[in-house]
Amino acid sequence: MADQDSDQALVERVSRGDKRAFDVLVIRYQSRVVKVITRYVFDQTEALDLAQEAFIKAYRALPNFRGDSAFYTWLYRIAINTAKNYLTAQSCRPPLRGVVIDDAEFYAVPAELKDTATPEHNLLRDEIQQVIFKTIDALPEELRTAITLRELEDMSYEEIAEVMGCPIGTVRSRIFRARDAIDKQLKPLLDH
Amino acid sequence: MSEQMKELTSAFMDGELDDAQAFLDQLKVDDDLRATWSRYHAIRDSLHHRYLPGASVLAARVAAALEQEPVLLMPLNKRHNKKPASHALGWAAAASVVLIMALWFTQTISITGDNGNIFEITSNGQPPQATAEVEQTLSDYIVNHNEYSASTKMQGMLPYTRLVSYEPAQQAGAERVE
Repeated sequence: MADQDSDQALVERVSRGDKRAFDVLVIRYQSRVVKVITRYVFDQTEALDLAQEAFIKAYRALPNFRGDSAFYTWLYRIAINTAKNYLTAQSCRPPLRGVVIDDAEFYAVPAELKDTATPEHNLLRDEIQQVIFKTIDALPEELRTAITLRELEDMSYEEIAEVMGCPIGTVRSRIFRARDAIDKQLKPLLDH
Repeated sequence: MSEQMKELTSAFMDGELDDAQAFLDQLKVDDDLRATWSRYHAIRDSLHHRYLPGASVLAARVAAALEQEPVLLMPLNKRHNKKPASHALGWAAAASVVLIMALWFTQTISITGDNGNIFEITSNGQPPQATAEVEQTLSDYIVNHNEYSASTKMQGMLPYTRLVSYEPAQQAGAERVE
């Protein structure tokens, strides 16, 4: 997976003393880590606290990260253990439907979190999703195809170039232009 | 922020930026660039139905908590940086060792005794064949050795039985050959 390459570059930066590179990793994985934790802890405030704890643990344990697995797999394991330890400390039994690491990424936002999230957040999430899909629908076909193959089919630039019959540089430009078009529509919503 | 930097952000988040160091230097100091990084991930998370608006506070909270943490200045384990070629070399070396060991075990090993007799040892399940002369030498050796072996200190009939039963068995074998 291509994300691993950029993760690795960031991890190496952190290990050389660049704390801000870790923030970049947090931004990348914050939603996914909270989502995994809410399989165990249904209260959003608690889930956020545990996610923060998991990230701090990951930072401290980073020198032990051997790179045998992808960074996000390693991070998820820390997040799940943090949630389980919390439940044990609370004398609660972890839910039977645990999270399989490999599948964790593919879960949609759990129903429990939708229920516990504030109405404003639910509304914002739905609105953001509508704006994104609407913008993608309105994109020129070559941009729409490029961003769809990248984001939804998880193809590399090389694979997309082969499918679309164009150079890799063109793929990179099309994906960026698609993202930029979505970003322009999204920015007012996220900055408010 | 320039369009070029945004394009680099897009390529980096896809892991498609060959030399990312200059970009990461800029990302470290450019708040607008980090905001773009954040929004691009919000787009990705939304497309995968996993975007949580409430989670966006985490980055700031973790950054604040990390202020209290020591700076990491430790070399990472480099196992993940191994090139595929080095893996291939490792496997080739292991395969060579296995092949050599297999050949060594399957070939016949000859051991020459003091009197020039040759004992042939094979690993193909066939018992070694020995001449009557060799058997006699072996028998003498066992008798002599038994005197000094630790088993003679054992109580009971077992050492005696083992020693005595050898020669009748040898004789029976010799009769069958005749």
